[in-house]
Amino acid sequence: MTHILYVEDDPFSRDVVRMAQRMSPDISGLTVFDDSRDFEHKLLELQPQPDLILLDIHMKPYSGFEMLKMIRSHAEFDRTYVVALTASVMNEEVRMLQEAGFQGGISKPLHLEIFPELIQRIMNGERIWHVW
Amino acid sequence: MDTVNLPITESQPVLSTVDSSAAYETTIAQLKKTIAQLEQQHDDDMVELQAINDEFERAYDEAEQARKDVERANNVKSAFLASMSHELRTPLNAIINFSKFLKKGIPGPLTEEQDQLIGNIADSGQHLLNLINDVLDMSKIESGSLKLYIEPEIDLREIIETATRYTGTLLSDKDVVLQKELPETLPKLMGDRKRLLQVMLNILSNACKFTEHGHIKISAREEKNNIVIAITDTGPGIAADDFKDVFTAFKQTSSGLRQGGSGTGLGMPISQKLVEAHKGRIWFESQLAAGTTFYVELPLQSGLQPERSA
Repeated sequence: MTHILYVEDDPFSRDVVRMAQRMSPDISGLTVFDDSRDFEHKLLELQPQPDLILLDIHMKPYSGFEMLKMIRSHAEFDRTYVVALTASVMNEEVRMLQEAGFQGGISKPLHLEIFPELIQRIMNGERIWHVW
Repeated sequence: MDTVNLPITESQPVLSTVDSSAAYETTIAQLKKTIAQLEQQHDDDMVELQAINDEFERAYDEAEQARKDVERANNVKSAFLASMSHELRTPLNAIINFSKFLKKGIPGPLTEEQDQLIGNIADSGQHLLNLINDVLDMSKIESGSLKLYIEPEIDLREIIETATRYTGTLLSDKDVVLQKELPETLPKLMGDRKRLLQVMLNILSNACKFTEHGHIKISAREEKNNIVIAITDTGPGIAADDFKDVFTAFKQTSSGLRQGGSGTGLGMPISQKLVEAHKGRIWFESQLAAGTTFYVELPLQSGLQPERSA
């Protein structure tokens, strides 16, 4: 069972992932942050701790790249998967995600039918770059 | 240029000194004249050379400027496409997925008409997404920046299975059977899994779109160091007049348009480029009112280099 944290400033995108959770029996819980303010503090306070963190990239005040760095600065998240959920899918943009150390990327629009399968594969350690 | 005749003096007797002195004067004068002419010629040549040089430099500057302009225009185009893609994908995420969610009946049951209308929204959103993806791909192909992510061992069986799973839903309202004739094993080959899936999806979704009755059959076989995949449908076929348009960008065949085809006209040209990037070939045979077969041939030894793992 997977507990997901999703950080996203677009309300419709948040709703889409909430819907996807309702269709995915393997996702046991979903916590959503509406913005990246105070991200590090909110993350450390979070109970239960997430198994997988989905990050939007173009966010303020902290971008997905900056949030990834904050996560990786805490040893307790060493085993937490961090995956980008983004509408920026050009080759160059995907390369930047890979170089920054994201363990996968899922493009918007989300592919509702295969989202549960993607989450499962990510949790099995597979590096998914599902750019649709 | 004038030739200068030097007087021969060594063998002349002493008595002829006066004469030879006069000849000497004449020769000197001639030499001076010649030197003056040569100098003039040299000056003229230098002026001409300078002019040629100036012109060359100007042409070089112009070419350099043109190259920079093209580079700048390409960068602007890439930035525009990246931004357009991002800005359109975010609302499409909502349009496509909210409508799919409603259509599944999860929030509540729908009347038949509501189901139909919501299905139309989902399909239109998907169409718009396909269009964006195709325009981005075509732009990458045209600028030569299309990059393949080559994996050393990809399984075409798995790609075909995935493609049939994705496109199977297109046949749910039709009296069409989707058949697979795949050997137990196929040798693995080097390639870009996602791009080869895209080719299969393009061909299969065309077959599903245009075939109203009968069957669509996918087969694969090994043949002389190649794997040949054939996708045969019992659709309306392509008119001979339209053959040339099948792989032309932004062209939809007139027979396809009459059938209510609503593609972007980019799917097959992109597929062709992708197959060629894999050192393979794509072609088709078609007969009106009988059906169409598309073939994709991929070499087992393509010489492609696998990417370092990301």
